[in-house]
Amino acid sequence: MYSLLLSFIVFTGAVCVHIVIHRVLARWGIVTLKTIIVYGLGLVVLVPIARPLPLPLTAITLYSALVAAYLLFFLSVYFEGESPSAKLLAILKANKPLAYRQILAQFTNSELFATRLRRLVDGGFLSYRARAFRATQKGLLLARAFEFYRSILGWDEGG
Amino acid sequence: MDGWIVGLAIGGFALFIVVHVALCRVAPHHQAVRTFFVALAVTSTLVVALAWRAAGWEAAVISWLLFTLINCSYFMGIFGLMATSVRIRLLIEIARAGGNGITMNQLLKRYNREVIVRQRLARFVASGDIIVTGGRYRAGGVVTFFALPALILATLKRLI
Repeated sequence: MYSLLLSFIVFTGAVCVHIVIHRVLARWGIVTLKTIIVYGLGLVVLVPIARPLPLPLTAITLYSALVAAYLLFFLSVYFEGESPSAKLLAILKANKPLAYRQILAQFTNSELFATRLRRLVDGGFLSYRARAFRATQKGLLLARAFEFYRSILGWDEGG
Repeated sequence: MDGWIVGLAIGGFALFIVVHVALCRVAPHHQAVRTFFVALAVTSTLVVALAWRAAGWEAAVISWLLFTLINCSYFMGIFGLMATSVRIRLLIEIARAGGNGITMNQLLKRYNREVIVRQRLARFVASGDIIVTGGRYRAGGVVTFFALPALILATLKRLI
C-alpha cells in the first residue's frame, strides 16, 4: 500500500509543479504543451523509489493512469477553451430560473467557434482558403477515427 | 500479486470496452450513461472475483481501484469528449463537406449555438443536473457523475 500512496504523492507533486510552471510561463506570454514533460520527470523520480517496495508495477501503472486522466482534462482545456457545459451550469447556478431564450442569449457563435477553429487551423487539422474551411489530410484521418468510434457505439451526431 | 493486479485491471478494461460497445449498440443514445454503468458493474464484478481467487482480497481491492480509475479516465476523457466536444463536431462537419470546403455561414446552418445549448440542456435535464419547471431551467441540488467532467474542466481552467 505504501507504493500506491507514493504514486499519489508523486502525482500530486507533479501536478502542483506543472500548474506553477504553466502559470509562470503564461505570465511571460509563453503558453506551451512542453510543460507536460514534468510528468515524465515524475516517473523518473517514482521508478527508483518504488522498485524496492511491494507492488512496484502497480505503483507505476497507477501513476500512469492518474497522469493520463489529468492530461486528458488539461489538453481539453488547452485546446477547447471554456466548456459550454461548465458555462451553462455556472449561469444557472448564479441566476434565478431562466427561460431557454435567456440562456441562449448568453452564448454567441463567435465565442463558441472562433478559438476552436483557430486552434484546429493552427494545429494543421483544417485549412482556411477562399473563405472556406477544409479538412487537411491529418484532419480527415482524425475525423474518420472519431466517426468510426461513434459508429461502433451506434451514436448519431455529438457536440 | 503485482502482475495479477495490473493484468486484471488492464484486461478488465479491455473487456469493459467490448461489453460497453455491445450495450451501446442496443441501448438508445440518451441512455449512454446508464449503459456505461451497467458495463462497469458487470466487468468490475468479474475483475474482483478473478483477482480475489488468484491473489486474495488485497489484490482484489487494489485491482478494482486501478480498474475503476482507468474507467473513470475513459468516461471523462474519451467517452464524454466524444459525446460533447464542440471541436470534434466542427472537425467532423468540415471533413464531411469534402474538398470544396464549407463557409462559416454554411457551417452555422448545420451546427450553431442553438444546437449546442439545446443538446446540453437535454442531457443535463435527463441526468438531473438541471431541473425544468414551467419552461424555466434551474440548477439541480446535487452534482451528478454526468456533470463532473464539466466541473473539473472549470476548476482546471481557473487553476492554469
